Amino acid sequence: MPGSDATATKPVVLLVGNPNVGKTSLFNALAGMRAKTANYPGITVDLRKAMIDVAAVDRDARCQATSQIELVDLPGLYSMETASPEEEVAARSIRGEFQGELSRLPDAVVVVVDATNIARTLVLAGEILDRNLPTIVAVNLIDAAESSGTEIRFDELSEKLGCPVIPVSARKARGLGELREAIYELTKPAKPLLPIAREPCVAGCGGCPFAARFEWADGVAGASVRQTPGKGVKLEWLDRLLTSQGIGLVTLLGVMLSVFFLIFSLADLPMSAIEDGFGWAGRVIDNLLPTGPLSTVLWLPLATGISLSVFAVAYWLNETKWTRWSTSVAVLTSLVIGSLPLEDFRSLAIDGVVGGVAGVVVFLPQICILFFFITLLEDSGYMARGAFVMERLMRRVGLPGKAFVPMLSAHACAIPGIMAARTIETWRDRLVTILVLPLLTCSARLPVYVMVAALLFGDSPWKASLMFAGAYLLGLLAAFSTAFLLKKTVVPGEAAPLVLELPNYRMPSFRNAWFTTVERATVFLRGAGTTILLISVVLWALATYPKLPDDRTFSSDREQAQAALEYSFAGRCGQMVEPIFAPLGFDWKIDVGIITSFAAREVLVSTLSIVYGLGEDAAEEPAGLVETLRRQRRPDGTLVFSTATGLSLLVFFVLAMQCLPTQVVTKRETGSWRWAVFQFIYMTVLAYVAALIVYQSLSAAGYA
Amino acid sequence: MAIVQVPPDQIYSTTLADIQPGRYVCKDVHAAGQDAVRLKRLGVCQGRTIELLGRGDPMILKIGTSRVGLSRQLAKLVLVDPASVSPLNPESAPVSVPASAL
Ligand SMILES: Nc1nc2c(ncn2[C@@H]2O[C@H](COP(=O)(O)OP(=O)(O)OP(=O)(O)O)[C@@H](O)[C@H]2O)c(=O)[nH]1
Ligand SMILES: [Mg+2]
Repeated sequence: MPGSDATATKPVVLLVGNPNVGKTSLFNALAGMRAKTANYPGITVDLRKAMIDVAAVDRDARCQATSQIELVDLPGLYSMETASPEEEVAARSIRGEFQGELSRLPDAVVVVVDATNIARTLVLAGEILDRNLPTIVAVNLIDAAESSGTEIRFDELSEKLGCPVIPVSARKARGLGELREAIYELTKPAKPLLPIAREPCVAGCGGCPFAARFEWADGVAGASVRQTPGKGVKLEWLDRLLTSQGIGLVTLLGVMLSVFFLIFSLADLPMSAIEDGFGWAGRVIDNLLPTGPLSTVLWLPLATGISLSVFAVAYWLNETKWTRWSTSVAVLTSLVIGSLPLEDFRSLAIDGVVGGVAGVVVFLPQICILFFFITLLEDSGYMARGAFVMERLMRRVGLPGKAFVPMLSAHACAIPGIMAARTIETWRDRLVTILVLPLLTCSARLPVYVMVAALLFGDSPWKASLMFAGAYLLGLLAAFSTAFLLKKTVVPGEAAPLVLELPNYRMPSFRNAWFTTVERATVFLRGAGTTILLISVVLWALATYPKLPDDRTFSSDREQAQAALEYSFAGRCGQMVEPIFAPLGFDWKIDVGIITSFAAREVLVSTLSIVYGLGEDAAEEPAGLVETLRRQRRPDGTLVFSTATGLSLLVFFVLAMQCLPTQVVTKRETGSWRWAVFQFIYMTVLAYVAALIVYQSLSAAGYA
Repeated sequence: MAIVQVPPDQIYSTTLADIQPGRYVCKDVHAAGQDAVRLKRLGVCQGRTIELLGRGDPMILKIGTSRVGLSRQLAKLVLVDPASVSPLNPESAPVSVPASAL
């Protein structure tokens, strides 16, 4: 009877299974939605839901019964006795301990097991079956099992388990119809209310309950699985190499370097294309905006409308609800913007909005390339070996081996790195990893490094590259020593000792990597993009207001821009904090750059080019900027950008926390602003002290 | 670091940390709390056959059909017997350490 359940809440069906058995892949195959899938135990954290149609497979399509269910993809789970926050989420969903539709027992559970590793992955199925929930066992990866010569007698298995068993392959989209039908049968509206009477899988007496479950699973698997001997790839020799002390480490370094090489070589072209694109957009807007005087009656509603629509897009991207508060913020801000003089509106649109968004989007190619290759590596099963090899080194500073994937990602951008830290099981280890990740050199620091390198070592490429390597090393060193110290003080305790499943090697799927990349890129744009938009508008306001009094005249536009910045809030702040940064060798103009770059460090270069009277455009041709910077002198006639100041500036930017989007993500992942504030304070103090030491010792040595 | 002293009457069993590659039967796991859960759910628990593939820290085990990396620190808490000892006759095997010995 189709439609009869339309008003009632839909049955909830959970996808449960060990990490890495392909739950998310199966979810995607059933729901047609792309969630994060990766061959690394415990990747999924957010619960993904989708409404899907399930149907009885009927000979006559006209009277085919269908119903809708809500499918939920849970994080991987080894056992109902949990050992990580994500597993706890999965276990609690199964027990129906959440709000909303997860507040009652699920209407059905699909336990996904791995056809290439039946015995191990059935252990959880046993636990679920003992809870007497309506259960289906989906045996995934049958394509892989077939090609390695594993034969599974599914009816035998079904009989032993006392529940439907459906062979599926998420990758090859096999068995999905049968699975839909089984779900339909289990959740169909007119379900007979028979109590489920199953033999308990494990007799409940004495001994280690785990051991009993494993024995049961071994028995079931032994009776229904036959392995053709000699077939299938044996990759044990490869594993021995990749996990060995010497070759393993060398391979890992090689893999990491190649990923970086690919990031930087492949990202060049799309990055300059994005820059050109935004430059073009800025010019188009410039031309579109009227130049002459305009009646307020016409302009006010128009500008307010434009601003409101920008708000609407940002709210939509960021998934902000139109509450009373957020609506009044949008309306009021738009009214203020609408009443701005035309020239100010032009500058806001071009420098604030377009420029600010461009500043983030330009990093997108690097982040996409990073994710693409990391997903491929995770899919192949290599990342677990990487964690295994790194365990030996990372343990010394109190970090788990698994922290290496987040650290690798953080070299492109701290935000995906912090998100990748979710694979670390123990909360304290995860927290320390998150706290030190922003010390690693992300790509937003590169424009600053490039500027300093050109400034100090423009004539000697090898000195410049030495400086680059030094900056990267300094970041790594700072991250490791901070982790060590934090593990001794704020978050005491050693890293939880390693117990890590080394998944089978699999052929990575490019499709999977592509979808993951697209999804991650969207997340990045949503989160970081909208925050950055807000920040760039605020910064624009700080650097624009108050305006210069009208009676001053200037010989050139540049001089006027320079004077205007000096007169603005940002300029005044720079002058105010000059005494604080003077011991680091910074003059007030550099301080303005430091202030504007607190929200996003890459802003430094463009700010410096304005304060030193070059105008925005100069930032795009570093040669001009560097020449001008080199000529700057202090009131006492000494050079501003001496070796000491340059290196002190570099060290400051290596270590300082200058990225608001990262702070937002830290808050989200640690659950409180406390850690975000802590991160900000310790990194800023560290940066200040280190830059102070560098400047003072270098100037004492005569490099001032 | 919790190092478990193995009492003299346990002399027949050795820990996973000081054996040569080969097949063993897990006798007992002396870990507590989270570590115990993390070990057991990957199959390192009483009565299971464990194959040591590669020594070192961390070491590689084969348990059933899956491979597991295990740090030495935890391996020290896992008591094993060579697989040839018949598990059918538990009386002849040494008594396991009571939990209070931890
Ligand atoms: N050959 C093959 N590979 C598959 C199949 N299903 C999934 N995979 C691969 O298995 C790996 C893990 O898949 P996921 O869907 O991320 O597994 P998961 O169970 O969601 O993992 P967690 O979220 O970490 O618990 C990916 O590399 C998939 O490409 C399948 O049917 N056949
Ligand atoms: Mg998943």
